[in-house]
Formats: sequence, structure tokens, C-alpha cells
Amino acid sequence: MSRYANSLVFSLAILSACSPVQPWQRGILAKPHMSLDPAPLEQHIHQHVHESREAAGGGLGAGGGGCGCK
Amino acid sequence: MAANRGKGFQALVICALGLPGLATRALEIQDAEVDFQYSRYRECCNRMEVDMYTASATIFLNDRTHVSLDWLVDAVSGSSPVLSAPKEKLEVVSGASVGGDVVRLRQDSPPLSSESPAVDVMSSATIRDQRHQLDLKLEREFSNDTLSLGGGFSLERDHRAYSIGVGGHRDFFKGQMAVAPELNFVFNQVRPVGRDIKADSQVLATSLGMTGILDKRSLLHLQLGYSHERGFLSNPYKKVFLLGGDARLTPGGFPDVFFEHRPARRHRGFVLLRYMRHIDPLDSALHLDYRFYRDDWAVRAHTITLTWYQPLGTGWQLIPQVRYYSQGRARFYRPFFLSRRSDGDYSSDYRLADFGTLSGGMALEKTWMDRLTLRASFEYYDRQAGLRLGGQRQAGFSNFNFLLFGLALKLRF
Repeated sequence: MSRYANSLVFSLAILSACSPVQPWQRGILAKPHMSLDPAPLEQHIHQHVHESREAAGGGLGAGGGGCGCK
Repeated sequence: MAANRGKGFQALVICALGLPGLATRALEIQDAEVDFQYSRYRECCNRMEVDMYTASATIFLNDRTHVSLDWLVDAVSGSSPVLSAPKEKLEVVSGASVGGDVVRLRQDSPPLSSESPAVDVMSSATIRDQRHQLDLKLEREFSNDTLSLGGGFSLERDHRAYSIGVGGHRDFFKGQMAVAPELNFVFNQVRPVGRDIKADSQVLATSLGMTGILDKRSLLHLQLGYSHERGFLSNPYKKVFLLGGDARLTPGGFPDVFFEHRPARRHRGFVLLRYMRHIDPLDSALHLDYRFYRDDWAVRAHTITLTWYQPLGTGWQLIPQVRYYSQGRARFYRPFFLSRRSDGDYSSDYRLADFGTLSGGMALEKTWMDRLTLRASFEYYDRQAGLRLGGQRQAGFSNFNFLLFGLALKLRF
């Protein structure tokens, strides 16, 4: 549990390194290819395939059902 | 020209909205969005093939509320490993090699050791199945927040899953940072074909995502996730070779062969770090993702993904991607077992083994008038025991590769 707490503290430290950028300076950040998931449907499918062949999962847009039993 | 004016206006509106809901909000200045995708998954060596048909629609009820509907159909066929066993125990009945179609377990064999090479035994009958999945999500925006409620189900012959979830998104510091918590619950029912068992499992998953602006050209996203699974978590079709047997296991139809058994609980956690950087001279974007995963089955995994978004002008975009994945085995995984385990948990499922994968792919898309996008993509994925971080334990065992093709069409109204 303490490891997860450490991760949280570490993450907050990283995010606190963010520098102020005014809304009118965010044109580049608003471009479609700067979004977290520019192609969410395809990302979902790839992630589902990976998770059905690997033991790890989570975070990269997967979810949904299917036990991947086969 | 009109399209350019539209883009400029949209960028201004997004800037005014502030941060990290980001470009996804750019797409919300419209009435509806429809996506279709066809994907074909094909494993090497006459293994599994899957055709996937996906349709997704987002309808904006007003400027703050929208509903999303995703529908997916999978058609699965082919064969899959059901068991791995020491090579000395297998005898070819027909076919040119041990990798052929029909093998049987020898009654007598030389003395076995844990160093004996293992061989996959594939299912003899071709698997055919179809899965339907439907997900519905309602999302409502407030001044600094977004709230979403969702639910769905997945149906196939031997497995049903029902899910509900709630999520949120809040901007802080004038949009400089955004936080997105999520909570999901999934209820699974397993009714395996050919086995007289009815089993259930439940999954409670939660995650917290944080996105921050590093500077005018870069973003950082961090996500922490945890899930708790309980119930029947075994794969009902997978078997293990256990010399001498164990009375706690269900016999698998052959001497020394039993259905696998996994713990009834699993705690899983991950940390995901994503970095997005705009490269001005090329108007391109670099996405670098790293995920660390661990669970209390002793699986540890590292995933690194590098994606490059390269606009080519006149609506074209090229997107190459490489991914590396490395995993350590679950504590109760072995290719085969020569003695009993005290906890009664056994699995030879190749997904719980030590291995690494390397995959690479490319997508090419073309957008017309900011309304219609066509996209073609492929991914080649190679799994090798030797690709695992720190070397290999069983060279040449359970290695395979697959190709994944995709064709997508997106319409915005």
C-alpha cells in the first residue's frame, strides 16, 4: 500500500512541475493529435487484443467484456 | 478556406474552454459523431482468427449533454493451446511432427525433470464463437466538471458480462490541471461448453487520472489504477500436466492431466505515465507511454509505447507506433508440474508465463472537410520468451505472432 502512496506523491510532485500556460496560449495543446486518445475506438480494440494475450491490463483505454478464454 | 475558418474558430473555443478535456472537447461542437471499424486478427501457426465489427455513435442532446453507444461483434475461429506438457510424454499419432494435429500422452516415458522441454498441445476441434458487446454512456458537463454514467453487457455462448460505471472530470487552476476519477463494477457469468459448471466472478475497478500542462507544447498524464477480482478466475478450458495428480483438481480426461485452478481473489494495480509533446517544425506529436503493472499473483509487467502523429497536409496523417511489453510469470504458473503445490493453484496458461513482446504498426488516415475520416492500420505483434526483461526461462516455448488489420470510417455531423 505504501508503494501506491509513494506513487501518488511522486505523481503529484511531477504534475506540480507544470508551468502556468494561459488559455489563449493553448492552441497547440488543443490540436487533435495532442489529445490523450486521438483514435479511441481503434485504441480500445488494440488494447482489448493485448489484454486477451497478456496478464497485465488497465489504463490504456480498454475495458468492456469478453473473458478471452480461448 | 471555410474549413480553415472553422478550424480557427474551434481552436479559439477550445482555448477558451481551458485545458485537458482538451481536444476531445473540440469534437463536441457538433450534433453527432458516428464511427465504424472492421478489424481482422490473425495469429500464426493455424491458431486463432477473429473478425471484429464495431460501430459507435455519439449524439449531443444539447451543448452540455451527450450519449455514446458502442456496439461490437467478434467472430472467433481457430484453435488454441489447451495444455503444455513435457516433450518426452507426447507421442505423435498422426501428422509430421509434435506440432501436428494429433498427439497423445505416453504411458511410459523417460524420467522427467523440470528442465525437460515443454510443448504446447492445441485444441483438437476448431473453436467457433461469436461475441456481442453493447455499451451505453451518458455524459453531462458542468462549469468545471464532467460527470458520466455508463453500463453495458457482453454476451457469448459460454460467458456473459454486465458492467456499470461512473466517472468524473474536474478542471483545476483555470484548466492548468484536470483530475478524472472512475469506478466500474463488472459481473461475469461463466458457463463453459462441455463442462458441467456454472461459475461467477465480480470485478471492482477504480482509477484516478491526472493531466497537467507542462508548457505550451507538452502535456503529462498520470493514472493510478486498482482493481479487485473475486470468484471463479480460472480459465475453464485450460488444463495442466501434473505428475502424480492432486485430489483437489478436476480430472482433465487423461492420466496426469487436470483442469487448471487459480486463486479466487486477485488484487491488481498499475501506474501509467503518458507524455505528449508537439514538435513545431513538423507539426507532429510524440506520445510516449509507460505502464507498470503488478498483482498479488506475482505478475509484474512493463509496457512502453511510442507513437508518432505526423500530419502530411491536405488532411492526410501518418501514425507509426512501436510497443514493448515484458512480463514475469504468476507464482502458480509452470509449463508442467512434477509435484503438488501446497496452495492447490496450478496453471499452464501461456498468458501467465514469463515472456516479452515487441510490436509495431502504422496507421494512415485522410480527413475531408473536417467531417469524414477514413483510416487504415495494421499491427504486427511478436511474442517470444526470450524478449522478457532479464532473459528467458523456456526458449522457443509458446512463442507466436499475430497481425491485426483495421479499416475505420468516422463521420461528424
